[in-house]
Amino acid sequence: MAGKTGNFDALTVRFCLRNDVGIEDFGDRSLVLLCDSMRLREINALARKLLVFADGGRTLHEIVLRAAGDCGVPVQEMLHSIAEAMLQMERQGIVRRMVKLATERTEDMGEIKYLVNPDVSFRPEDDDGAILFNADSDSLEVINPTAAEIWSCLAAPCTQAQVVEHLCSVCDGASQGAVEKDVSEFLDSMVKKGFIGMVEKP
Amino acid sequence: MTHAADTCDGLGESLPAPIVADLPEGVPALRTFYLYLSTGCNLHCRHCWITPTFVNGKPSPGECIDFELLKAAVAEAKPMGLSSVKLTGGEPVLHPEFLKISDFLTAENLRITMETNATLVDQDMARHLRETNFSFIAASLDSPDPGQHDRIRGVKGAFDAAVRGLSALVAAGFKPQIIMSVDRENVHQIEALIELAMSLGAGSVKFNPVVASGRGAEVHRKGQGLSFDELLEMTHRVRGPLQDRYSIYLSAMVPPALLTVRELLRHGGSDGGCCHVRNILGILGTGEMALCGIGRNIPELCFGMLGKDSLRRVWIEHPTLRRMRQDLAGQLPGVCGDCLHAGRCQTHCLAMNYEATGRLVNVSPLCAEAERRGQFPSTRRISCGREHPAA
Repeated sequence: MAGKTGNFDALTVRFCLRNDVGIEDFGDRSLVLLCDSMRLREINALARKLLVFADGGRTLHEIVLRAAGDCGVPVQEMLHSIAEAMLQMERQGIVRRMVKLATERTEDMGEIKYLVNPDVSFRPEDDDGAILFNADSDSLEVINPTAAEIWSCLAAPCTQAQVVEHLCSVCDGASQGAVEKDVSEFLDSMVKKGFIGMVEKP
Repeated sequence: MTHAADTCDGLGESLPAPIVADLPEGVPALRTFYLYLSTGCNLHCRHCWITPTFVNGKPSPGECIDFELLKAAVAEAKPMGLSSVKLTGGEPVLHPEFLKISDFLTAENLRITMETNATLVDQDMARHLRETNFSFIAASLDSPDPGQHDRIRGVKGAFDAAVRGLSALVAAGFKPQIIMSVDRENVHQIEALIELAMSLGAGSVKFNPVVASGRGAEVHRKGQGLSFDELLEMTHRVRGPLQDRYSIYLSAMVPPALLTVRELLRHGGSDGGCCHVRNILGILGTGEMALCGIGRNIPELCFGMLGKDSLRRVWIEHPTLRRMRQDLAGQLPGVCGDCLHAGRCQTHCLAMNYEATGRLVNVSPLCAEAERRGQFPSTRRISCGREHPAA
């Protein structure tokens, strides 16, 4: 699964709060409302602090330094947990990474990783599927539950193979070949329409 | 992709791109004529929103579009993008030059769709139409029970004649759409009508609620029209369990915001539908240019007269059309201004908006009611949940 990286490739990435997020603080806990999907997440005080530092200007490494300094803890002790907390919040749709997204493959991309366009609003409805809406282009797509699962998976950068692996793990009885075909078609279609992009190297 | 069965013009989204010459900026292509060929009809349907003339069950063409004026209108409109026509009425087949008009429109390479009661269509006519540019034909059946259909249509024998006409169309190779006008009297017959449509070889069935316009106003005054709840219940039933059960394409149109994701997916994921109002001009049997058939009931929605007024000037300059375009391009009113379907829905049926509120570009009465009841889905609002504080 993408994002669960132990080598901290993401340390040079800048993160910021998604613009559809609302936060209510309750002592040492905070509730995060993901407005588009109308879902609630609970975060602890450390994660809340990270959200303050995730201003789109700091890299993840700089956020770790700042948080470790505030807590009076050696950086190496917090590095893994903070980085993992940030990536977890990315997967949950609370923060997004500041990266350029391409709609066409370039030679220097290497292994392609896909990521949802942060300007697209994701509106799941029960278990029926979801609506994707890009207010900037006034474009809309209605997607089925499988596509909605792919979309959720791509809150953090993933390769096509990682998406297939994830889908196979959550879809009982689906053949790998059929899943590969569905994922490939969906990604191609969404990239063409600008709903999903390919992550460019910083 | 919007299915042809889900649009008023039967064209879906598959129109060829027109070659548009010298229209001023902001003036859309005139792609489709709604030709109300005749103001008359041979049936006297209790719910008809157009209120055509009718004389004792006999064909009563009323006023018919002058063929020569129609030729001139087509010549004037083609450089503005005209690529299709919908023939309707009254009953379009009543026009004394109906076949000649069909041949002419075909020769002009225009795509043709038609709404008819089918009662006057015989095998020769069906074969003839098949050899022209007709791509989609919709015909009316309001009940699987012949006696009830005849009562609704106001003419004894209407059911048998419509079934004969539909059979002729199917035999000629068409897959006609059957349109059922639904009120409280026949809403329980929907499933039986679907089965009848399938047995006749229809290609789709559309369920139109009787609207409170024209003669339909009397239906509603008598309490026979579907309520908001009944209309939505019917729509969800048609697009949900009934579509699950039957292979024939079923359509029931309400604004897309009121449809579930599952229902939208059933129809190809499109949230379009209803009509392409920015690209349509209605021409009534009298020769008047109008928004659509609503011009028959509401004179201020007629914009000029063929033969007297320049069609091009009407299309470009008429203040009602200009205002409509400006309003559609600007901030839409009420809940439409916060609806993520608005760019395609375009406030749904502008004629019914006008009938209900006196404004073309206004919140559809259905969405307004959903909003009033607190039932407008929050997931379809652009602002969804954003009243909460940010970090």
